[in-house]
Amino acid sequence: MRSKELVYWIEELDKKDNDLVGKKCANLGELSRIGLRVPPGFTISVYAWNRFVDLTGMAEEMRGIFDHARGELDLPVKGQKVSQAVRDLIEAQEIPDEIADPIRGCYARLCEKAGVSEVPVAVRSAGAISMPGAMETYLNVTGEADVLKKILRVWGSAYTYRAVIYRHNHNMSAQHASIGIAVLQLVDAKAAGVLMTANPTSGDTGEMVLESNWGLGESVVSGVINPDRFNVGKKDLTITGTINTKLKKIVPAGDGTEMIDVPIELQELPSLTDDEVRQLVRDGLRIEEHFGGPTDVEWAYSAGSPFPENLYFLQARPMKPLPKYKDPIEKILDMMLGELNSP
Amino acid sequence: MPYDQPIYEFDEEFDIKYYKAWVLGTQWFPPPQTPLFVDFHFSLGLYGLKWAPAMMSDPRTKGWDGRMRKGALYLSVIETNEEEKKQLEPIWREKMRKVLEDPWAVWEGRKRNLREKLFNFVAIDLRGLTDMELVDHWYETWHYSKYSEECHFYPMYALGQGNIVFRKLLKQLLNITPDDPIYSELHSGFENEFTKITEEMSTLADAATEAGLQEGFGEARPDEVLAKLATSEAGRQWIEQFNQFVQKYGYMRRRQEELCTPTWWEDNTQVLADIQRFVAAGKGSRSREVRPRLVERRKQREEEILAKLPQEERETFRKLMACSQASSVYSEEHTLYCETLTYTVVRLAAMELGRRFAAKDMIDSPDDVMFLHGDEIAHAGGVQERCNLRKIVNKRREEYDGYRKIENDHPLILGDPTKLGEIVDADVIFGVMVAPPIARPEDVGATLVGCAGAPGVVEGTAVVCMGEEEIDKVYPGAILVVPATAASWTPVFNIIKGIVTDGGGYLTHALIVAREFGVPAVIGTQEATRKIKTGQRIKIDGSLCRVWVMD
Repeated sequence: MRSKELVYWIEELDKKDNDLVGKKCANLGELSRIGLRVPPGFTISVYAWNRFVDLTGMAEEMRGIFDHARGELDLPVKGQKVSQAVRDLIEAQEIPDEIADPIRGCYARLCEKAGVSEVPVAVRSAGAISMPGAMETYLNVTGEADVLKKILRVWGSAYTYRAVIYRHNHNMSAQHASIGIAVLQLVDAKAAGVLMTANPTSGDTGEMVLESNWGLGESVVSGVINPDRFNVGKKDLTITGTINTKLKKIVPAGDGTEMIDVPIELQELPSLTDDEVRQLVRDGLRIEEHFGGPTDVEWAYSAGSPFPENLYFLQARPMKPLPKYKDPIEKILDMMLGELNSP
Repeated sequence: MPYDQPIYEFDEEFDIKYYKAWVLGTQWFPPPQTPLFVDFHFSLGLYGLKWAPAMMSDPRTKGWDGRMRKGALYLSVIETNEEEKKQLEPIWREKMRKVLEDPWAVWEGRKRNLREKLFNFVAIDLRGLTDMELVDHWYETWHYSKYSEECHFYPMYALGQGNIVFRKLLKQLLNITPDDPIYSELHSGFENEFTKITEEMSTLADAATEAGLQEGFGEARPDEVLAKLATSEAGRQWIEQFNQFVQKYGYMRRRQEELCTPTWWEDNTQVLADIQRFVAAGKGSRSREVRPRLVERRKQREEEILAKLPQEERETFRKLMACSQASSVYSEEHTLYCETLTYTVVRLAAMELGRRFAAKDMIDSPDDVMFLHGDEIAHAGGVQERCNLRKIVNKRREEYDGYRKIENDHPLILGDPTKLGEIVDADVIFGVMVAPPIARPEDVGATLVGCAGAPGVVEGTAVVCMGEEEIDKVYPGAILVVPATAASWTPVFNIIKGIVTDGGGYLTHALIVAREFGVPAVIGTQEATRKIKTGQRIKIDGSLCRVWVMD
């Protein structure tokens, strides 16, 4: 186990670092290790969070808030009061320089590499334990001050009622969060989305499923729009699927993002070319092999550079257990016999 | 006593105890059948219905059972028990997999064999055979009929399941039910032999009209029509065409489910009457007009529906759809080979034997042979040289006449009507023949409700026919009301406005042909022939499966 640092560059990380920086960050490190393109970025370790709690003296107050509600966390009204109190507490703090300086330094380095004075970043939470959707992400964060502010918010999001209750119900201390944060350069996404290296509905491991839309991948991940769907055979790379009418996309705006209309001429156009699809599948195969099983991947094609150097990977995690795959005839036979049991 | 074969008699206690429900075989009755046909049908037809599910290792059903009750045929399903189900399931899965891999192959090979053999049989000049050669031929026709009945039912059990599951999948994924026009469209536009024959018949009718011969086809009797036509050159040419047509298709008979009715070769007035109806209707083949549209529309619908489905569901759906379509086509085509031709072959042999028996003073007229059983005919021809068969014939004729006198008083269901759904679900083929109506008439404000329909709404005058013998009551524009239809009714679909049936299920003749011809239909109302009288004004809605009596 290496010495505890407050910040780490993504390239320094690997799968051993789950507890250090959170699973999501560690996975980003793994991706970069197998030679896949991850946006330039750094992580703020769990240690940094703990140090923050110590330096600000919040621990005492947090304990007080939780003790006060002992045994009543399950009651939504009580639980939400606790959550709000803790979040307010966290966001009222200022990050001590001991922690803020390294962060400022890394951000400056990012800006330098990008060649701009204030590079937009994504600030993403990464728990040591996976709690999908339980904690927050901020996109298009610009400037040192805003980065620090969002970091506080993301730390605070470890105390949403949902996250608190999750820990509480899973025999963990509700009060103690192990939270890492990834600060990644925001990809100026032309198109983005998700890739599943096996079919999640049929359980077929012979094909991958892609969903994509114009703009930032959040529109696909959040499920608010009807994305393009591509099914691709792993062996022969044949592509089938459905191109949907893409009415909206998410783009950077102001100090965050907004959802805007997709221009008419792009609505029916596939958001990915066949080459782009196949590139994703080829990289998907490497990811799947490396992670040892069906993997759920977030990706983005940047508008800023030519294919294929513009493909970035933003996240990778193991897929939920797949349903047992049945070929069409097996399914039909089951249906026919289903008639036997329940007409 | 069903024609001296007590084993077939319905036992009011025993048969209700061991079978959930018995259904009147409206496909065969009314009117009652003659003893030779009953013997043939039970010993070979019902045998085939047991053979087929056994060969498929069907886990649900061991086929049908049959009884006679007051001259009427009743049928039920032989369900399997739990243990049998468990044992059969894995074997059935293997067999069914092969079917799903190529559903069209199930019928194709059998059709080829039957076609070849049966057409060879009908080509034999029976009059030229010696007595013993004729008896030998008689044995052969019965033996071949065993194979024919096996071919008859095996594809039904192999493919019929596909239709049922396809129906359920359509409902589940896309909320489409069988009474939806889209369902009809997916199963329409396939060519089958009977519609070809009907089209040729209709071409002849058009030719007569074009040659200005309509008058000759007026209200005159069929034999008078030929006499009138013979007086002109155009008429003689038409008779030539007509004779060629009869020569080609003369194995057809008006009433299929009997042996005592003549082939077109023996009596061409039957088909002449059909052509008369076409001439009176004054238009070209409805099926010919409708078919190209149907094929195109079917392909369109297939694509539309596949596009609506998620990627993962498409292959499954495609395979099931193919199975269901193959099932529908087989359902229509097999009638020509496994019923029409097979029975014709048996009839022709029986009639030749009948002629020789009559010549030897063993029976009064050749037709009396229809009152003997198959083995008795073999004996009378091949064992005894000359014996008096009149006692047997007269006794059975008396029984037969008695059955004919019973009014239309046979309940559609014996046993527990609420169990009808269960036995229909257990046996795929039973559902072809009968199925529960989709609603109760009183719940939907209609006089009758059926189980399936062909789309369209029409109003018109009803013509009730209790069997093929009454086919001549039908006139163009009538709404036909029958217990059931069979192949010989196909030409009539060209001229009727609509059709309502008592019996029938999801793959019945009436339903399939109504779709092909674009005729609104309501199938399986159970009581249409009892509730509607000829001459009444009725309205039918084939999409909703409802019938209203307007008077």
